[in-house]
Amino acid sequence: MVGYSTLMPELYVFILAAFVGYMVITRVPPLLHTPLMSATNAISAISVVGAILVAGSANSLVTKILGTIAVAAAMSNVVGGFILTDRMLKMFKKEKR
Amino acid sequence: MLQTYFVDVSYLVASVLFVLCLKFLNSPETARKGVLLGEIGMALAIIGTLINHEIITYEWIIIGLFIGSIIGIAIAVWTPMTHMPQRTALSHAFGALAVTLVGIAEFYKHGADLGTIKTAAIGFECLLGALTFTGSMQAFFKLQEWMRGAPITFKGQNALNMAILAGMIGLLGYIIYDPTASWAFYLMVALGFAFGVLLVLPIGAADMPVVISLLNSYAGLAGSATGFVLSNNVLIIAGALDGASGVILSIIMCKAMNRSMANVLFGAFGSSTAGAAAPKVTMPSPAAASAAQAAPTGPVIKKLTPEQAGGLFKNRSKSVIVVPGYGMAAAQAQHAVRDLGDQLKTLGISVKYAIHPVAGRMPGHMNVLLAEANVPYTDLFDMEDINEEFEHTDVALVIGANDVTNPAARNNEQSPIYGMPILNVDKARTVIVCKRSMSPGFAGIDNELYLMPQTYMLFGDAKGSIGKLVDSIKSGNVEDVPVEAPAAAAVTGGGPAVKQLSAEQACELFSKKAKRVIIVPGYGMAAAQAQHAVRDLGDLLKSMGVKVKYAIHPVAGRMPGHMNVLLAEANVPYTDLFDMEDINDEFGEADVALVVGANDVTNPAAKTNPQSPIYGMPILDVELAKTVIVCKRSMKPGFAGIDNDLYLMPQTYMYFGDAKTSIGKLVDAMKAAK
Repeated sequence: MVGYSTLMPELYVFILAAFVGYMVITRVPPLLHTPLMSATNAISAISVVGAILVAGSANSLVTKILGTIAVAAAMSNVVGGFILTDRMLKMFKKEKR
Repeated sequence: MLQTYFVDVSYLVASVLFVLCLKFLNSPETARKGVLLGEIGMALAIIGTLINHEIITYEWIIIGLFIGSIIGIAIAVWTPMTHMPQRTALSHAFGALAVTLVGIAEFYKHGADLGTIKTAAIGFECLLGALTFTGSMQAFFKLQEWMRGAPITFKGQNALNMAILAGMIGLLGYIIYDPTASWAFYLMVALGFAFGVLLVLPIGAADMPVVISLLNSYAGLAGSATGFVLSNNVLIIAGALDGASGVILSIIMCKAMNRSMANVLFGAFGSSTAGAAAPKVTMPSPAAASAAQAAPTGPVIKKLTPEQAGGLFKNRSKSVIVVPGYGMAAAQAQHAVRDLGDQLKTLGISVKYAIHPVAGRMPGHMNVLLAEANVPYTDLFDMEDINEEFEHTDVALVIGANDVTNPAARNNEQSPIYGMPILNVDKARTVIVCKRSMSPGFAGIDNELYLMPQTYMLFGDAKGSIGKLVDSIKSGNVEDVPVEAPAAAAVTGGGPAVKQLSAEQACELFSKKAKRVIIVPGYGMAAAQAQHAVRDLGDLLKSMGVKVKYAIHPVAGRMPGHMNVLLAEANVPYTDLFDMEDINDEFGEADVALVVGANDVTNPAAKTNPQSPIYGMPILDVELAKTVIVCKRSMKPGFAGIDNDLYLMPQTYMYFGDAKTSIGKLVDAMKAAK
């Protein structure tokens, strides 16, 4: 079966990452749930990597256009997500006195 | 070869940095460092990809990166904090769009050569991506108020959705069986786009926190599927992290609304009938609520002052057992408790400590705390060793322990904690309970102990109360317990009436009565952009020596953490923002609770009226405050479409108007009065 040799290791990676995610994220206080969403959103915009490969290695115009739109959409999340998360976190301050 | 190594290592490091990024988000102190690590990881992965030898041309990539960066920067810089839910929905849509297009391009390019497993992964990727894209776009439109926020339902909606869902799954199965059937693939993607629209149509604006979280997890899972398609582990990991986060947040939001996921997603189908019936059901509820309020006058709660408690110890006891619980830990009262023990011992009274196995937050928690405060461990007794002694004890002093002392565990088979081993505190001749309020503990049930004839309540923060108690014993300034204990706060006021306030009257209430104020923000604050006015009010009150705290319900606003961000934006220190569980006990001590544009999350019907559609939803215990001021545009009900019993309670005053203007006027009036 084509692709089976990589499927199992990939499933391991997926399951373990989901567990790590569960462990780490349950410890994020409700105070920071909005920045959390924004940050995970920026992180999952790593799909920009896949989009770059499609846009750059394609030989047909259709895939190039699809890839380029995908790069733009994902990149807006990368840039917007990280900047916005930081902008929010900067606002969380302790009592001055 | 070297190039390949660099690409692989950059992905590996990026994966680690992403996990660390989320780990550092567990505290506001370290969170920004986490974001920096995430940014480094992302930059590494992108650079690694750009030098990949598979890439032939760069023009298109650069155009995409450029346009995306411009959009991203524009969104990041110009999104007001009130618009975070919209921008979050939009970013889920963008992420899902990217994933879907990558999937379609891969299928277009490789088509039938992909093999069963990759085809299945592409199918999942495009299906989830497509429905997340249109679903999120619709959530965005609803939140942005470019379309009606109300649920949109039509006849046969459920059947249509089920048919489309079945169609999508069938087509997915078909392309896995026959990967050359490209018509099936494209039809499936089209159905996915349609399904996303249909999924969010019946969901109202108030349920958006759940939907946004759910779409977040879909976007993550779609990203993970892309990783399977491209055999790229960093995509799998990042997608799994995002997916896990979305799932956890959806569950938290559902719990906070006391609803199941199915009820949120498909509940609107029943709501047209429930909505019509709701007013009829709730009409008599104000009367029911006031009746419920009057009820506690039956078995009387007997309050003690610290001086009276001092009298009890000094004049009436020879033996004392102290029962510490999490309340002692939370108030850091262990040193005060040790002082009390020392004082009592100098009076010749025997003092022992009874430790329940699950007192506190971890095994042995109480022992460690008391040891820290220099209580000799020979005075600490396990439950089995001390339970016999309660009946020969003059005074049992319970400090912040609740369920572990509830006699219902022994004698009430209906009780959820029935059968749990408890400390036999109720057998002591006199019981003093030191606790913030009457609110139930984690099991959410009332403690019968508090209403027993031998029990006295010493309300307040454990550290403060025990401190005062020690002072009164030391100085000899003790009082006897009055034979007729003062009744619980008398219920005043006639029939339920709406009492309106002007800005000046509200100002007077704050200036005269308030020592402790809790502010409860809701969506109304966000809609009116009133967070800065609220902060001004908070600052002004603080400058007058008032303690100000903010109580944040998990589903206040339109997405998880919405209120926190708005208040942080207005420079409210995050140390003043409290989650529902952390602050609910404090409403009983608050002089004024100011509700700014929150509605259903403060409705006591959720606790008292089993007929109410929101019955069982956890709410902020605003009604326990001595005075409640509700700042709201009108009496009209919130999203659940039901009247709020709170507004008719004797202690509640309505301060009508737009949140921003009203709070602004109040601040002006208070400044003028100063």
